[in-house]
Amino acid sequence: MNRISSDPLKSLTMINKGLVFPLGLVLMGFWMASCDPKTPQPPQNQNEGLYFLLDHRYDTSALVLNQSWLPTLLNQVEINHCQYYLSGFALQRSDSSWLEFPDAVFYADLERQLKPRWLLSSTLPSGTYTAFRFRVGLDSLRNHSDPAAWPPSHPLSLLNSAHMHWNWNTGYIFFKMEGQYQRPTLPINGGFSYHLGGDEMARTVTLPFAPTSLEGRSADLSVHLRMRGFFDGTHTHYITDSSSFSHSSLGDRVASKLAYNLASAFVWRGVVRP
Amino acid sequence: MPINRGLFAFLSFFLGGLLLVLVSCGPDEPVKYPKPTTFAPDMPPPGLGFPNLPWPSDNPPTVEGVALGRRLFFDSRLSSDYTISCASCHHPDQAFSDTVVYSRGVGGAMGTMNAMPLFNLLWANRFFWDGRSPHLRDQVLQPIQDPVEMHLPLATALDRLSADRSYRDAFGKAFGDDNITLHRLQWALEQYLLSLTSYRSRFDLSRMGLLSLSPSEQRGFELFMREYSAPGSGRPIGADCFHCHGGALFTSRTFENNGLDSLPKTGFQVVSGLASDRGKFKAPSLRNVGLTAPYMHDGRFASLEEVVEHYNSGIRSSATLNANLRVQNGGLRLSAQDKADLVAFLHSLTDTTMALNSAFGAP
Repeated sequence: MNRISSDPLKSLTMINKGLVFPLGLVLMGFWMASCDPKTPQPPQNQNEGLYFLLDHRYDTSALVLNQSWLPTLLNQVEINHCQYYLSGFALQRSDSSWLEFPDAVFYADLERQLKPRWLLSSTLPSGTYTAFRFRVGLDSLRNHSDPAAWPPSHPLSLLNSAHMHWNWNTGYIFFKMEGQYQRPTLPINGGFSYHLGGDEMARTVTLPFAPTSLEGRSADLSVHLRMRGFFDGTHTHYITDSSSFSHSSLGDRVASKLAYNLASAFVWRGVVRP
Repeated sequence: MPINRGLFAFLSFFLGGLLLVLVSCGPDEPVKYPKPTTFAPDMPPPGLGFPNLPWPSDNPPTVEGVALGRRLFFDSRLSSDYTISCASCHHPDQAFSDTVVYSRGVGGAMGTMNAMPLFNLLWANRFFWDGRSPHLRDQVLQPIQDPVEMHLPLATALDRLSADRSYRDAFGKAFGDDNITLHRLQWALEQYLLSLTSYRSRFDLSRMGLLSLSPSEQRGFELFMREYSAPGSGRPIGADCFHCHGGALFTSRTFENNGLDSLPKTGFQVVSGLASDRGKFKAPSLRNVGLTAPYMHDGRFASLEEVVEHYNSGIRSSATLNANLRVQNGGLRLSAQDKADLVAFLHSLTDTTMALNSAFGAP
């Protein structure tokens, strides 16, 4: 049996040693908390589930903003800004039915990230699939929702979309690309600014692929967006001073052409298992 | 009665440790105060389109915290020579902006950018014209230390406040005990500044159906909201302001090069390090813009008429010029009436109740 010494230091050594360490930890934790208001956040596992991996290219090369003159059929362009919304995600099962991810809305800002990876589902939906579908833009309900009412962290919140919304419920800008182009006859570059929006400018992209089985804990659906297709797609777009901007006004043919071009610029790359 | 010696040792160790904890954060045991009273901020009603955003959860507003922040804001002891307070350059009757191009700091030192207005900061994403401060609670410390503003070391600021019994008492009422710390100084100023909301302009009242804009204001609003119209397009003239100043906040919350100079200053480049951000400054809210002259980061325009004329005919091209300004070949082509209507609309964004709000002014 242990004895308590009259010397407090000695008595400490005689306490049940099983209590000393946990109590010391508790007191140490209490002390740290009392002096520092910051609380560390535990890391979260961000690898499980089904992801959408989108890589932005120009032709087949990596896209570079603000630096290089990029050739189109009829112009040399420099892309400075590009932001857009994607929604309406779905995978086609082998029986032709669609597995939808109705809550997923993604916002791409190429100045922040040229190769974003978004979580579609926190669990991998096992099965065999034959196509991937999504919308460039938003469905009508979301498009005419109140941007002030979304939670602050949502991509449609006005806090994140003030530059992507046309004010007082006229809707969101679905796709925005801004930059410069070389004028062939003038030393000063021209600017271009294309803002595609309005319900009629939403485009559905369907990317079929060979039957592919999803199984295990995680997979990436890998897609490229080849930006050259925005200018040289179904329609060839020639940028001049009179065709250098569009804000999708009623009957605007530039916006309509570019929306079709954009939808055809996405290329399926495959399922990647990280 | 026999003493359980193990229990005795355990209690001795525990109480000794607790004593160590209590003395480890300061030389004196702080005085305890009652729990502060929750503050109900004056928030805009939902129909006006302000984004749904809660206050910082780690700094909930209290009556005592807001009052303390207000006192600090107007207190010149936070400057090295006791002459300058925050309010010296942020006047409540000017939407908390200054009337001069560059404000004067201690010893007559001159600032390098125009003092920004302060309101609706809950919805602001970065602070200062160049965005160098990401959080309001960090921003509030910078003018105190800046050699051309208040020029006071933060340790000295805390010493000065701690030497005042009434300040210790005010911190106690706001935070539960009378320790004066840097965090609490930040939190109090943040609470006060976040309480400065503005949403009662003529424009807001018209949105609520309580009055109608004048024909000139209404036409100015339409010009403000209409995109640029190229020559020969057949579309009506637009001033294309909404791209950077649209929505209920009247700002896109972005940093833009608005064509002031062909060789622009650094701007947001100091934050991002990117050449593509050179010359980009905060697109400010245009609420209360009628009160905040002079305009732009360098205060170069004395009147709204000069600002409108800049966008109409004075855009200077550079590599990072905003794309929507770059496409405006030959300017906006606004008539004299267009410009007058735009200015009339901009004045309709003035919230006259803000200057009269006794809760915002000097205590």
